[in-house]
Amino acid sequence: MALNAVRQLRQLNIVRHLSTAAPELKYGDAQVRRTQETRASNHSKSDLYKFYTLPEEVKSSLFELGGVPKVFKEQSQIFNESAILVRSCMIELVGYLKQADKLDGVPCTRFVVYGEFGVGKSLTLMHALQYAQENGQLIVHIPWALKWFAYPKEVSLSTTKEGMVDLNIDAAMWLRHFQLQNKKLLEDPKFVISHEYIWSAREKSEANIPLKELVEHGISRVKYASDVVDALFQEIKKLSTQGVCRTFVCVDGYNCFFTEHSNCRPEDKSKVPPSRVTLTQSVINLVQSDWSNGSIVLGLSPRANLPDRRASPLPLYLLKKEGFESIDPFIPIYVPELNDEEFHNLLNLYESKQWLQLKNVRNEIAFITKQVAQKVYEYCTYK
Amino acid sequence: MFHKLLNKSSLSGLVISRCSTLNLVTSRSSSYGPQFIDPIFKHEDIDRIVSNGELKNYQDIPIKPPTSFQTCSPFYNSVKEKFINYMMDKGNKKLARDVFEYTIKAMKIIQIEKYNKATTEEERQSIILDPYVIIDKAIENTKPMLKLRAIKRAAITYQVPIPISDKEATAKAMKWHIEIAKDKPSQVHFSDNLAQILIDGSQNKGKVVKRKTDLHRTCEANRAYAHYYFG
Repeated sequence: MALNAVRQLRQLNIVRHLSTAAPELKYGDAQVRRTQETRASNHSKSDLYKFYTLPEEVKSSLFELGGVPKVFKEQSQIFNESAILVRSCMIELVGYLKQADKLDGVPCTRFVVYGEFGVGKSLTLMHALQYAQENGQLIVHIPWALKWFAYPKEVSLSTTKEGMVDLNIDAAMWLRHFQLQNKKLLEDPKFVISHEYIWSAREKSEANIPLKELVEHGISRVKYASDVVDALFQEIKKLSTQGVCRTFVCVDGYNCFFTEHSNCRPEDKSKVPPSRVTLTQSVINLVQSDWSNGSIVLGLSPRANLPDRRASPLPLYLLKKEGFESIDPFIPIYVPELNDEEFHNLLNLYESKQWLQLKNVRNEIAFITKQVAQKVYEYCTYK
Repeated sequence: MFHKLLNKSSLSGLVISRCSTLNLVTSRSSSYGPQFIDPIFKHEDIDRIVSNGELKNYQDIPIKPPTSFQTCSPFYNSVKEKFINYMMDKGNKKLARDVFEYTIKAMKIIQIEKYNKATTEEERQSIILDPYVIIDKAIENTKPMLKLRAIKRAAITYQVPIPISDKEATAKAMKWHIEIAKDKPSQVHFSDNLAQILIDGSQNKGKVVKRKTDLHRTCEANRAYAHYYFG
């Protein structure tokens, strides 16, 4: 069924190769090219390779508790504005999402954003998240999932599922993130849970209470946070299948769920793999296409893997067989390195912000950094 | 034969150490003789020599090979390389280079923050944004004019003020910066501290400038001993 949806999307004839429409930017043209269009859903080919400023209210409502890459955060703090370069992969992804949103009652489609380290995958996801917020979709956003497995706050054995491990504080923190991102939508009286959940002999959530209360229960009773996350995902699936809302799921660093081991150590001090963590099971269940009226965007990164498996950015290599099969029919979106126009525009921004002060150095920077955005920033920083 | 040579060398060492007060300080000999000139490795310099027709002058002169850090990159800066070498500890150049680069970053962030906060145009133009200009200015402001040397006359050691060469003064200014930046609480990073000290030095204030004026004051006080330098 999901495969059919993918085929349908392909037939809609979305323009894939947008580079021919690019405006020409000459070498050494000192002017920074900017667009005044700040809404992600209105970006078109005419805005390509230009900077737009992320509005402050979007930044505070969507990315207050994470989601912005560290380097971009630092850069926007220094430059006093968060300027994002509109790239062809962003317009491609949002174009697909627009078409997918027109189809009603179709199993949700999966998109996989992949590319080398530092090329701008997370910024592409940020752009898509902005689009989802503008269209009033329910956002389920997991910013940099590796944080759970690399730096877990508290690890305890699960009481409900045998042999599994809970990350309760991390789960509660994520619930807070979810609550902030969907502040307006959760006020809606249509969002109610379908059946009752029993947490312990004395505590339970009854049927037909608002979804907001379920989330608040997870935040106030941290002991049951992992179970609340699982329940919440099941409820979201049901709600969107009923047509109450459209859901946008976004997971950054999805391949970290399939690594061999993590830093999670329960009381017996043995390292458990991510597959034995309850949050992993909940997320993988959410990403399946057994529900409709939603779209799923997954970001893969070599950095989310263990150091011995970072050679290639391709999905099959990063996810291995098990992970690849869990999301099998998907639309791949490759994020390439900066092309010449983007590269010169980026350096124009750095020069206008006085971050790069030397002249006639562009050839050397392009050669050494391979036009990877993060490396360009770091090279300009330290010289 | 070999023993004899060894004895000879140890003897000569003894002689030199005794004569050290007579300004016969030993130094490591260069592998290149005095006839060798410094390498010319920048494109601009080579182009200038060729266009001026001075290439004939270099035909018969031996030239030293450039070291591994002397490159024709536009990012090359001789003061920077010297600074890194002074900062280096136990031959760990990689670390010294990283720390220096973090210093550059910290300086940029401090200055750009000031630039963004400034309200008037005059205020903005007074802020130096190029970190290498800041370093040059800081060194220029903290170069000492004199130095003190202990000279023994009639069983009493005097601190005698004597003139200092430009090269030595530059080295002293750089070393003072590094020495003073190391004196900090353990939470503060060395690079951040050094950045702040360099910016202060470029504005002719701060700890390093104070050390220079202290030295000048001592030299002024010991002015009466100055003639001991001549004998």
